Amino acid sequence: MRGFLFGVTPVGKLAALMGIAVTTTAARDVHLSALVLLYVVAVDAVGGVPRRAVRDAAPLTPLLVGLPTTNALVAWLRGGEPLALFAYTLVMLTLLVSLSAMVAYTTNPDDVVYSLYRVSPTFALMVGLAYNTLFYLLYRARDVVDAYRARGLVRRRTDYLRRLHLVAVSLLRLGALRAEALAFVLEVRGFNSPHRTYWREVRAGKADALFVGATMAYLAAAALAVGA
Amino acid sequence: MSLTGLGSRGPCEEGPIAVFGPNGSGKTALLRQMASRRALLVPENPDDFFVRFTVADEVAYMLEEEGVAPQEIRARVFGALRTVGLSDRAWDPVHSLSGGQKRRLALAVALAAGTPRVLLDMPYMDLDPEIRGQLRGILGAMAEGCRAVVYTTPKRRYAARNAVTLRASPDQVELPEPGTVEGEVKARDIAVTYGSRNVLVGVDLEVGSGEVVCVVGPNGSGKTTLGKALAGLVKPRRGTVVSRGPRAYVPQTPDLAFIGATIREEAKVLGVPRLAQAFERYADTPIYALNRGLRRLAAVTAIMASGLGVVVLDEPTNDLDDHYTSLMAGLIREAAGRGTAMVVITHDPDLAAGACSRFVRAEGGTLTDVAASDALRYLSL
Repeated sequence: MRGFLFGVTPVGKLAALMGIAVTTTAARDVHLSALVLLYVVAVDAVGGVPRRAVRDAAPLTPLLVGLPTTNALVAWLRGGEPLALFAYTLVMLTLLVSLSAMVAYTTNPDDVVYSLYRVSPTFALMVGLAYNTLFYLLYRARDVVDAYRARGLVRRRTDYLRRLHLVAVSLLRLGALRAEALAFVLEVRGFNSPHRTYWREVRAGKADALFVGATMAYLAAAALAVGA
Repeated sequence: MSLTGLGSRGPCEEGPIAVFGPNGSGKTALLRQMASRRALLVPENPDDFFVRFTVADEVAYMLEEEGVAPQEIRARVFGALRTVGLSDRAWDPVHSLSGGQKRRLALAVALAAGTPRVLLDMPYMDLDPEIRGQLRGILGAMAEGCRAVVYTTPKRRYAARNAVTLRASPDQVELPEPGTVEGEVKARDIAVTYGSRNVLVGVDLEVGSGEVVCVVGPNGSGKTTLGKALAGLVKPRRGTVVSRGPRAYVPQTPDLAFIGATIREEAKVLGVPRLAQAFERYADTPIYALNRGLRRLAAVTAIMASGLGVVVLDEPTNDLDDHYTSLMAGLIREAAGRGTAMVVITHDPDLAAGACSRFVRAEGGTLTDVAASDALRYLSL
């Protein structure tokens, strides 16, 4: 079942996320950041962010551990507070991952494009195409690596690294072909027509107001509690 | 039959027109010349066609650009998706569809679009027999209201009554003999999941040395995932795949299998000089300048000539003409005769009749054995 975040427009989500980012970064306070993280995790859970978010974020574990550890080490060498810095960096990184998961698992990228149509239709479509191309290249990269593995040219991870330039060349070639095909397809599919209509609109609703309001109220309360 | 003046009056009486011809006869080039804002061209590779993220938005995109009212767009989008059997995937990402489902989506776009002419390059490719059986009706629906519908096909069985025939001299290729390596593969209770979708649930399959097992079944039933799991490219969530001899997988889109820019380079990378000798006349031509039949044959030959124990071919003939299809069937039989365990994923009744020694049907993430007569009847729907 989809959680309520699916009913929140990208504009609503971005407004709330921006508030969180600005407040926690400006405060540079581990207690406030931890409280905000707690709130974001709760919203993620209520919003139905799937368990695979946790599984997908697992490869980031070295970063989540390595960066705070390095920061703490540098702070210790400089005579600072290693534990406080470790905790702050870890909380901020986890917050970043949680916020990204909130957007990635509850947002249809076409909704973002539709939101941007209010700014400029051409810009919106360009963003959509860039996003699509990114996905296209990611999937083609996997296909190209599969082609190498299928021919027995990649047996170990080091083989893959050794042949990375060949994979890059294959991808560049496929990217160029994709660009050519896209230019042709956009032309025959009537790109940038002056009479364009929009079959669905992305509007801010009650869920947006509730989400943004609750976030702001929580941030204010958390800041006050920490300040006191 | 002539394509001159197409769309002015002829097609009202004629219905869809087929451009039939062997690989390399210029079918695609002809359609590209005819394409314009009033003549929508759906290319042979659907991935080249898509510009949006979700299935429904993809179908709606052209209608929005045409300035159609939102209510009407909604009706046409869901009507078209229902016709091609994709209404339950309307809000899924396009990239999550299987090869055949992407082809269906491209057909839905053409069905919903309001252009006076529709040009479809190889629309029968990748489709499972059920939807292929309905395609004639879908093409008929597209041609309603005096709309001109032209499609290409390299296979005679899919050419309409109204067909323009293109001719070309056959490509000169002498296929090298496949390598001799005995192999086998055994899959036990394998399960594969993509996100929250169970693609395979407890599949068992054994392919012995010299066997050609053909996997048939509807689009999106997990055939490609099974093939990749057998070749070791997808790690099952549960179960085991045990094999003897080196394994290989040739994807549905042959272009993705090439590493070199020419066949000679490809032969060098793979260490198989016989490949360049077989395609001597075309060995220095850029791969993407070769016709699709040659590219497909070169991709498969490269694998076969390497001498592998287990080979999985994903839809190896869906874009090949009758001549190339019989060449491919011969190549598969010969490789099996030398001990290779072959798994062929196919919707092609001609290849199945000419190469397969056993059939399994994939459906709902499971496999069942089917008799050859039943499988061939299903493929010929």
